[in-house]
Amino acid sequence: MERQAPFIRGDDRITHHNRDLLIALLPILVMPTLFYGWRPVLLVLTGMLTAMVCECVGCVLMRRRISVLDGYAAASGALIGAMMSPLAPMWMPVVGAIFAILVVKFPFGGQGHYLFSPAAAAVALLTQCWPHHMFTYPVLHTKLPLLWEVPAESVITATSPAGQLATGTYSVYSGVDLLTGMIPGPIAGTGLLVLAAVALYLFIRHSTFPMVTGPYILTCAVLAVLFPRASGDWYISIINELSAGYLLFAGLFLLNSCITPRSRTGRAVYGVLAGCLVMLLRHVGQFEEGTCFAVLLVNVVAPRLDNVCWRVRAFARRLWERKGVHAE
Amino acid sequence: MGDFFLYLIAMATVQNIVLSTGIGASVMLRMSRQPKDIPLYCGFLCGFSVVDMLLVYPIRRYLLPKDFITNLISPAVVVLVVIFVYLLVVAILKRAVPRVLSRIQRILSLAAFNNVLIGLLMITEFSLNTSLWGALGAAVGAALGFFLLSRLIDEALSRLDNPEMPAAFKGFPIALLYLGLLALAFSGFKPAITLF
Amino acid sequence: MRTNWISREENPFFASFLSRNIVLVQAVGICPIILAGTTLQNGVALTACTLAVLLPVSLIMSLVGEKLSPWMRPPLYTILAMGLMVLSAWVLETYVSADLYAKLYIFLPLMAVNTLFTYRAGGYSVQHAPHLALLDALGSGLGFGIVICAVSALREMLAQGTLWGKPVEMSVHFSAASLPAVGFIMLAFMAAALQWLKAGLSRLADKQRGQNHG
Repeated sequence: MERQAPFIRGDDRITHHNRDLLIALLPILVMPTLFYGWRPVLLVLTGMLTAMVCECVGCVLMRRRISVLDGYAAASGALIGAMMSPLAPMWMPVVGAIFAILVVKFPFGGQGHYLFSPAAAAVALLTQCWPHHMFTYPVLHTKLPLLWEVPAESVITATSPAGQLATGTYSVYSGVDLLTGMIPGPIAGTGLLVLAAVALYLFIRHSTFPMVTGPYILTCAVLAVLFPRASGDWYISIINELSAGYLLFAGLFLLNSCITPRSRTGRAVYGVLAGCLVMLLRHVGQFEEGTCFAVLLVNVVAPRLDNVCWRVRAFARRLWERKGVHAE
Repeated sequence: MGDFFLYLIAMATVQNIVLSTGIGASVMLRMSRQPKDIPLYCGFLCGFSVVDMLLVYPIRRYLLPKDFITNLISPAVVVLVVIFVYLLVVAILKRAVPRVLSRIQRILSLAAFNNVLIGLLMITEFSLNTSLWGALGAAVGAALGFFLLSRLIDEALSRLDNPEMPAAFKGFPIALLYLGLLALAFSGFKPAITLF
Repeated sequence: MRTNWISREENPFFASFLSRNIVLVQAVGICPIILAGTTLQNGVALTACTLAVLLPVSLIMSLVGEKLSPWMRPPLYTILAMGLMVLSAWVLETYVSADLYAKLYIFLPLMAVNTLFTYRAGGYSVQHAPHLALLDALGSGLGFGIVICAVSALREMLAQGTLWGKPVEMSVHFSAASLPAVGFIMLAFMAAALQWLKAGLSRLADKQRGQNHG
């Protein structure tokens, strides 16, 4: 059976890409583990294992060769777990992984054919269903028990930088805390420095696209300066917005998938659009963190971007040539 | 005038009537089988929405008192206005361009009698409680939103035809699933206007 | 040309109710399921009102629809449907449950301009004899009813932990089940399940036919 075109070139590239994503998650998990114990790691592993089991179930139902070793399901599940709050119940990444693999991935035809990022769709659903569990964070240095569900009264909670921005104030944490990740927030909301190092690794390994992530971060930064949510200096707005929630994490892990446009211009436009939507949702969204919804929205336009960018460039080239002819 | 643009943008994008309420989903999915009819349908829908809104709004706001009987029969009043406008348009077209009417009659009647139009006329009074400009913005926005969504569906359906898709999902089920995930994507926005 | 006979394979009741289910195959009547299908009581009430309106309107359109010009049919079935729906709403409010009517008062008029009337009363019924139109209307109404009740029951249990207003033991509580997005996704899986079932039955029938010939 001839496969339709996925955007990734070959099966070995899928495995290499997903392996790099999983390796890149390891440094991101270091700070949450130091602050909260092994619970964040367990959440990520739960998501990962559930996704792999669902992948097997899906392959059996569709009578296909079980492709769990390509790492896609493991990566999706791990990403879902990483976007949870450390306090989230264990069943949340389970529900998210089931939704991502069995509802968002397989019905569309599996790897290379889905139109929405499964991890982003799962987190969007979890955010809609259980915003309280998604956005309640423990204070730093709270050793969380490895229970199925942590009783709410047993933990002191703190407001994340994203939560503070949503109320119109800047985070009380210093710039150093924001850079190093000494802030309450989702597991993936670690420090800017750690994410920068992870980004460098993924760029060097060609497992993520700088032409997407770069414009995305730049757009978020520019919009943070132009439309600050609290009063203060422009660089404070940038640091607060970029370190709030999982904005940067999404730029590295969610925007770079097989839905991403193939051309460089298309990727740049994709990144800019994603940045605009993320910042728009931060102003007019229902939740303190709506990045996953922005990723889904930009997934909708991704298939057309290559075509549109090609047409615009062809038109501009024809215009230029015509100008050149007239000049002669 | 600000209300006009607020409601237009809200109904066309973040509170698309099909995605946020399901109104018009059946027509959209059935018309996705004949995409060339959609621009004409949306044009008629917009025209009928605006004209009907201009008549229904003052009647319901100023002429009908608000009590039980009125609330029960006011939908019938809306439908009577819609029928009146439709018959007027048909009479004009029959006189002016009868051959064109026979070709577009099916689309015209579908655009005049559908739950997007009549739903909009009813919720404008029950829930939106806005000025006439806002109501007109909602009317134009709903038609525009229907058109934009139909383009998205058309684009998606052309990409959803792949041999790896499970046979059980081919066709209508995957279109519904796509609409559901699209509705999930838009649900992140805070509702600018309350539809229900 | 009107059709007066039923062939065994094309029983209109069976077609609209199951094999070509009016919602899950023909994509008709989705709006009330997404919008109002959030509790089982809503589902049953809307089904009853739909049947109470669709049957007479389909019969009338079958009797007189062919005699009218195509452009006159939509106003006729719309005004008939709206009139009967207003009557049904009054009956619901006066004799059944005022609370239920209060919850459904805006959805009931929307039912009257549903695609059920556009495509069935205004489409199928006009082209078929009255007995076929009635069978189709009954099949469409019940086909719509079975889907809306299934979706409503599931959404009520998941979102509110009740069924018909009575609490049920549910280990999963899914507050967003009343969102339109979840309604669409549930319908998608139901439609896929029906398509899978039909394909399976069709393969079974082919196998048996092959065995009989062999």
